[in-house]
Amino acid sequence: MPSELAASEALIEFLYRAPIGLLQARPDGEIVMINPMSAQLLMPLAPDGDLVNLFDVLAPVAPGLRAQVAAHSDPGSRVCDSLRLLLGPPAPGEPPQTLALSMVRLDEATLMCSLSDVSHAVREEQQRLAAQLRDLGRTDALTGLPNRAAVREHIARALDRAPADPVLPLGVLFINIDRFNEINLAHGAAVGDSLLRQVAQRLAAAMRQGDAVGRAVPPASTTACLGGDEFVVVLDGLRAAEDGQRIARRLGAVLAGPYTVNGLVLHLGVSVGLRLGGAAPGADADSVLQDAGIAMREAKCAGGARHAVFDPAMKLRATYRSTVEAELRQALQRSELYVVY
Amino acid sequence: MSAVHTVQFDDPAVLPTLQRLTDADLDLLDFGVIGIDGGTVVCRYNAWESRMAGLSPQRVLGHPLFAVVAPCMNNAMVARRFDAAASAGQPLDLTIDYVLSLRMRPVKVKLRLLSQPGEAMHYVLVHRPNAG
Repeated sequence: MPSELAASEALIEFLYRAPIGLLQARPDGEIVMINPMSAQLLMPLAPDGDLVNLFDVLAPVAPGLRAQVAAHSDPGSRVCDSLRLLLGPPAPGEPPQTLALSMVRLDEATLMCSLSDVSHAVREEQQRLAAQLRDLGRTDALTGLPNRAAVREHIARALDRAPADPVLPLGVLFINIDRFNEINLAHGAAVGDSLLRQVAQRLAAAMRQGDAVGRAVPPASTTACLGGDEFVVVLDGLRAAEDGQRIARRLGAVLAGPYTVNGLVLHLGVSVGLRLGGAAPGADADSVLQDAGIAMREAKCAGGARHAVFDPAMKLRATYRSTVEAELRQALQRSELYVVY
Repeated sequence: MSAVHTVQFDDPAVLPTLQRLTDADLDLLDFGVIGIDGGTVVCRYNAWESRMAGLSPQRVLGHPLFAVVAPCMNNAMVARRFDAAASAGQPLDLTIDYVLSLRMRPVKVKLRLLSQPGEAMHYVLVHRPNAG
């Protein structure tokens, strides 16, 4: 008899100490057995302490449970498996609590349930999903490189730091593939996309190499894809203008090597615009990208496969060209052009 | 008839009385008494509580109450109230409605949490309304 008593106590002790909630109920929801962990987990749903009927207790968070049980009448059938139950608003300073409920119908008169607190796992899952969404919103889908939004943020941060930075702080390389449209038209968009991915890989690999400019401590760099055939490399912490130009030349050479796509061997050149300098008055991420883009356009106009360093005169010329073009279009529409002999 | 029989769950001055009673006296009470030290280790466990919980005192005495014996009380309603009172150096005398799993049955009880700064022993009293 004493040994039976000891065994019974050991069993009760086991159930008291089990770090998971265990609960047995009748098919109408009446709770028959409940271990302390179950009682603790369900307490927030039963502020008046009524742990009589499981369906009533869980009604605010699982209103369909009663019907779900009714639909599972076969012995051994699984009513729910890790059903997430988000408890009500947490107390001030407390994180939200989520329970996981699993329920099996043992026989026609018995439901067996397990309950566990999965709040921590749910929070981690949500943080992971949020991080993935954030990354998706900041990544170019084709190349996997940071996208325009990400590179704008990076440049903005660098400009914020620039006034306190004693070195020439920022170099932005705007890279465009020469005659990319012709490759697309001649070989199809799939070949063009594959080519863009290879360009992205070469760019990223080249910028990961520490000896990019022959310095022990190279500038921190970010390689991004603005979409289409436009790429940007941000060099943060340049010490001399010549460093930026050497990187531009190096990237031009790296990207000029032959590419193999579906058995096709393709060669291409790139035009690179380099914008050097820190936070000029009124400069922001968009204007810095625009300046680098204008320099790239100058390089392309000069025949491509080269780089050009931005200077403010380029911007004036670009503005002048744009104005003249707009005025000429307007003049054509109004038939204001005529020939003078 | 000893004075023990006059001790009630809701006596205003129950704490000094409990400190004075022997373990045998505690066993005569008609409510549960769990005495814990500053480290929450169970040092006193009376017969009523043992009978209701289905656990003999030797299975409980010497074990941390909230971490091992009754993890269902390891929460803001019970354990953290003792922590808060100790941190603030304040006395604690609070009665709350609670549900305990006594022999794995959900049982509505009243818990009285008692702590006094400077005292070595703190108490959780368990009263089951409409029960002996």
